[in-house]
Amino acid sequence: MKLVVRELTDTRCSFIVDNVRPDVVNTLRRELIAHVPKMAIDEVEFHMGPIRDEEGNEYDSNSALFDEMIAHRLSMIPIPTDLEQFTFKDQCECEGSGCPHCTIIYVMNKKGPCTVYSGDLQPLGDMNLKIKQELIPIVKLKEKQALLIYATAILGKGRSHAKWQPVTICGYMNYPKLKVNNDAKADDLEAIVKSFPEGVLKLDKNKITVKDIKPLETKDPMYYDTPILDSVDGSGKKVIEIGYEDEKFVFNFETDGAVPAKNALIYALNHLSDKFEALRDDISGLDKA
Amino acid sequence: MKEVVEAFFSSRNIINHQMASFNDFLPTHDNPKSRMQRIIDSIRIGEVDNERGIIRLDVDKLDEDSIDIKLGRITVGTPIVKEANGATHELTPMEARLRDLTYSSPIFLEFTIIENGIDREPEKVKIGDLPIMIKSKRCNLHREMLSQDRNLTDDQYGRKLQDMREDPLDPGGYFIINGTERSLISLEDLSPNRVLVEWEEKYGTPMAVAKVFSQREGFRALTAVEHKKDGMLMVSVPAAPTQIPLVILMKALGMDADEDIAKAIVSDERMNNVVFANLEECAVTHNVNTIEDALNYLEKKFATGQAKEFREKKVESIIDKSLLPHLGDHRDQRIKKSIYLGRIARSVLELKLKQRDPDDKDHYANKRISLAGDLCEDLFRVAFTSLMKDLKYQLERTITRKRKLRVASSIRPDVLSQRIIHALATGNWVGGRDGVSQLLDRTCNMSTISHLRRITSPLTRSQPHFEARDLHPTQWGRLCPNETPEGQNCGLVKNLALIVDISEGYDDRKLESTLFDMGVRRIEKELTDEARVYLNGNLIGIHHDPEGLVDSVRKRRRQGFLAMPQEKSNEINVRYNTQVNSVIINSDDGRVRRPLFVLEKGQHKLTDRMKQSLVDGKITWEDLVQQGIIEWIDAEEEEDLWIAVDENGIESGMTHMEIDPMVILGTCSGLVCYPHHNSSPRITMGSGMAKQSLGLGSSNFRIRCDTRGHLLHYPQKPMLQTKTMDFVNFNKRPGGQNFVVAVMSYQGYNMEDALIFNKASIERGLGRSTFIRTYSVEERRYPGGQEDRIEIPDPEVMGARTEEAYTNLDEDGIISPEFDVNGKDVLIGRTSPPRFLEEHTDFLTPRRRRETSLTVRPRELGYVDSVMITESENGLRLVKVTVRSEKIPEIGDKFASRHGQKGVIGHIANPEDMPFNELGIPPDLVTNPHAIPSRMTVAHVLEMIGGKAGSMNGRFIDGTAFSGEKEEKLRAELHDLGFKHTGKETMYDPFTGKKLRVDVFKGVIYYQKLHHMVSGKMHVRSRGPVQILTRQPTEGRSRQGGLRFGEMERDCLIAHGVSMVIKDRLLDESDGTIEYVCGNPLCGNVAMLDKRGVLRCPVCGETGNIHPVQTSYAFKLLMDELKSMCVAMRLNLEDLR
Repeated sequence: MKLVVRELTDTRCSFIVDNVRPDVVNTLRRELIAHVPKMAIDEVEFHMGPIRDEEGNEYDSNSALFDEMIAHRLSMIPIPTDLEQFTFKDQCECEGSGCPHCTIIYVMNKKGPCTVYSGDLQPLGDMNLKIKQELIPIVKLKEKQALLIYATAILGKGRSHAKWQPVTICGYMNYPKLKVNNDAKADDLEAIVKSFPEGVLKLDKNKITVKDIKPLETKDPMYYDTPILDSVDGSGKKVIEIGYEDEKFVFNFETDGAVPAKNALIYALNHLSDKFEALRDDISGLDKA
Repeated sequence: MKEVVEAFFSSRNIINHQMASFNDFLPTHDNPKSRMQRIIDSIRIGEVDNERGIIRLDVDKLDEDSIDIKLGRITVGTPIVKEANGATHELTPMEARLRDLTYSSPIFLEFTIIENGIDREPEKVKIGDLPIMIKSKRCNLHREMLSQDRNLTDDQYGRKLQDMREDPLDPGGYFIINGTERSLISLEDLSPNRVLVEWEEKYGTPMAVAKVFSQREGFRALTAVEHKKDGMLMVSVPAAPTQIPLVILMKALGMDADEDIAKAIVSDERMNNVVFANLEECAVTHNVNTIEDALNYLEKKFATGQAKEFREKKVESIIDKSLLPHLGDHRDQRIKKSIYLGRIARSVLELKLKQRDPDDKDHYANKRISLAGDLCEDLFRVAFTSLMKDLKYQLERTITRKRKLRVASSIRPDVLSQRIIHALATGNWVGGRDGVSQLLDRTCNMSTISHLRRITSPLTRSQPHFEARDLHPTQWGRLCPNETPEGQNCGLVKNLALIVDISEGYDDRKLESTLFDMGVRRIEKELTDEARVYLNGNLIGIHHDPEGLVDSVRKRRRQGFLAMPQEKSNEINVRYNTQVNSVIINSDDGRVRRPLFVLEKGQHKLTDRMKQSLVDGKITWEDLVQQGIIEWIDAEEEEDLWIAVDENGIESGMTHMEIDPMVILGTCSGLVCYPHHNSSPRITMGSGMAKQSLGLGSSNFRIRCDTRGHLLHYPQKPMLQTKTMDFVNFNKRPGGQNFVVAVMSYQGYNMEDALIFNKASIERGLGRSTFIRTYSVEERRYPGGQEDRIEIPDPEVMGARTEEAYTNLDEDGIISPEFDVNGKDVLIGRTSPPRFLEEHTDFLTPRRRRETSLTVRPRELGYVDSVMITESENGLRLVKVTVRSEKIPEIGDKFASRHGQKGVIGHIANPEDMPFNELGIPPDLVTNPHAIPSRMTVAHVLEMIGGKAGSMNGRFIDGTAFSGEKEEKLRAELHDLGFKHTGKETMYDPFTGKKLRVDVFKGVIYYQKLHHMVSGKMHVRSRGPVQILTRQPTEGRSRQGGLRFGEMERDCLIAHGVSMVIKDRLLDESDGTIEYVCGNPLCGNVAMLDKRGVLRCPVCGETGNIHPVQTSYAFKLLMDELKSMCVAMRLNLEDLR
């Protein structure tokens, strides 16, 4: 298995894997979606009753949205997660009582009139845990309205809820290949060449040759499969036949920014090999029995 | 032309017809001749001869005094509330809703007592309360009420409404009665006072019949003239027992000369023999020659064998009151009725002679709509009449006591108020109609608007009435062709098309004189070739040049006046019917009219410059009507016209052009994009389901306390817009979300219209909604000074729950907001005084109070949203608790697109189990391809393509009916975006990882969450409550009832021969009981266990020979009920063999 990274940013990754069966790439895809963990707000405690500010003004702990809606909106906020730093709450050494290794507590204290943004969540303790995407609107407060919230974030996996799913979209395609039938008759070879991205095909002395297939990695070439590729002599042949490699894939995924794309991929791969290891162990256990 | 449509809605509300009608009813400064005032002026109490608008007291007990009460001007104030302590203050609709009050205004009437011809000082007296339509001219929310500044911008007005805790986009047009919003459903009825002829089948032979629904002041009576097989013309008169010969009736009405009768009927020589035969029959067989003969004949027919005096009275009442009341109810109008009857008979004979076709009852020219104002008018007339009768009676009582006469102290305003409020609260209208007022549908904004534009037909839904249910060509542009319910009420309940106007009527007496000025002549002799001129169904004269008359009437209408230049009105519609050579002019109220461009020389008169001024707001819709560019056309006049659909379709000779083809659709079907690509029933279903969708119903949802309310969490504007949406504020109060949908099969979980949802999408908030239920409790007072108490019930109280049940309550016995509550949890603790008929053991201990706490409905849960404590109208404490619960889509919840494609969730798939494309984009929803071909919802497919193109390009697509963006354009756009123009994408199997062998059609489409959710329907019972009377399990989910094990189910078990299962279902699990039966063979009555614990027969006193018998309680009940009818059933016991 060969893996060549095409593009890598914090939120985006694209690579080419070669020499691999589709079920294996798919396993990686499923692993990325469902089993890469992330911190997300799981419990929100709302202050009830009047809220006073320093000047003694009284506010009502109320807003246009219902509490459960605000809680849901908060849960969707990506929390920067260092996968090395945090463990699952039930596996933590604190035995589920909550400690800096498994939970983050955020405080939000806003008084209207204003718009409450995700950046208004203040972590208790480590300021590195501040929300990076600060301008996600949560709710608008009017005069005399205020919001005092304690929100607890814990580590979880996409399998149990989408809020714990750092990899938002993830997919792949079989690597494309083009076959040129230069004996097939076509009306306008120029147009055929132009219908593909620049640099893919080359027209030379009424002969089309495939120059570089790389530009086709970004998009499935089936989208270029237009009627002009059909041969005009009615033979049913196509001037350009679009095909795919069976064991070579272009793999794409994006994250919401909570976990860098690279870390997510590394975590998924490690986790996968751990799983296979565990499976191997289990099977060898079967042999003995 | 959308500029014109927009101009229409910039000056008119979507429910303008209701509002205008009610405003016409209300007496305001700018409406001196209001319908209310007209009722006052025309009221007649007591005898027929009495002068209208004056009550004459019967003063025979006093000497020669004559006392009249003159009724003067009526005024209606602004809505106020009178508190229990007597204080009054201005009422806002929101306060009325929250405090269960009626949003009503006091009505004042000026009374002048005239004693012996001398007027006393007029007295202004409150005569009752009138519920006020929200946002009508007397409503506190009316623009002019909120500010003296007439030029309040929409924005400022909206702000003011918000200050009054209203949704600025609420359409108004409904009433608030005891805190509930009620809308008055418009009624469609056959037009009154018109002669309709038709063939009626009787015993296999067709018979020509003419019918008139004569109506005057709310009183309706059907008169029919039939041409019998034997040639006799017979009349059926309401309240008369039998049919009577027409000639005799005409004679009785004072037309004694046979020549006159013949003249009144005959218009063609061929009619002569029929009429002569009738005259002869009358003279020879019945021996009726003079008026007296005729009256005697009627007396014999109507009141046989009664005293002469009574007979005369009866005949008088029938011919003056029941016969053709629209012509008058006085003796003087008899001859008029006789002439009219002659004309009815002529129509029958014309039909018989095939000179005319039968009238089409379903033709919209023959239909009239009664709107809120008309309905209120009927109600107010009846209520006011009974109030005045009551006043008369009260005053007559006071006179005899020789006190000074005062109206204020004798009037009982409650007589009027209660009558009106009761009708509005129950929907039982005067005249025996029910369902007139309905609880306003607040499921979403669309359901509210559609409810206020609904029209019902009085035809019974149980009968087929195929013709009445069919879409009639004359409904084009007036009623929506698609928006009607399915099933029972199909075609009987209709909805208005987008732009219609219901005529308010114009005085026909003024019109009549104008017509005479225009060359109409009175009829001198009946036989003539000149065209007859009918005004509102009455033959007023003849005209030599009918086409010229019609033209000049039209011309004058387009200039904005008809009767007098100073009185502008375009309420008149005119038609020349060549078949019967008559000019038909209508100016009455209730006609549904639609606007059309006037074509002159193949050209409409709206210039591009005017169009621009319309857009800029320099000129308005009204200006276009005033200038004769647009005119309102009723169904009668439309028969004369030739209408082009658009500018390209204009041919020479065409008279009019449509405003915009899309306006033929109503509000709900107007939301469906590309409806012209769909099969018609699917649009009907789509518009029906739009009314069940959840969305942002109103912006004041946190304040309102509806008994049930829904709120969609993230409502979206549809990617595919229609023009209609701008006029119904759909984009500001949307009712759905744009879903990414893939059309493919998925492991069979989407068979039979089931839907597969992406779990991650749901968890991110897709299709989430909140259900709100309000519970309310009043601290009632009982006779004897006892009252309910809202408190934490003492353990001593009868039926008190355990202490834990009350732990959520505050000291005052009421729960606090944000408490998590479950089914049967106590929200408000309450105790009530003991019931009157309760058994009491002894007289020393005081009787215990009962526990009557309010609990959450079984199997519902949620958070307490708000708690409101207030005072109701009677000064009683009123507590309302709102509970909200979040409804996250689950298996079984119902969703639908706008094209009648509905389905329930069959599976919620994990995100990694959803098919994906090369970028990894999974669909939110997977629907089954089988849903498409047989239903032919092509627009559904088109919407997916358009939605995809729109969301990729970040723009909304116009999918308006007939004029939306073209399919080719959308496909080209998709192609330019790098997609296949078909909308198909390569997808991968989420389980094997292999590429799917076929491409999958994927797009973005608007889906609505419908309010049928499993959580509200799921129901199980193992043990549960039983009915007190029969001891059988209760029925229905709300009572935790069982499911009936019915006869057919029982038959099934019999066939299987499983007798013990039958016993189990029908006895053990139902109402099985053990009864003790007296074993005495001579007795056999049911025995009892007496106080000492001895089994004893109360009938024969037997104590030893008593046996337990297992039976159903229903059988025991039967025995008891038979006993009450003096049938004593005996049970003779025998040993089992």
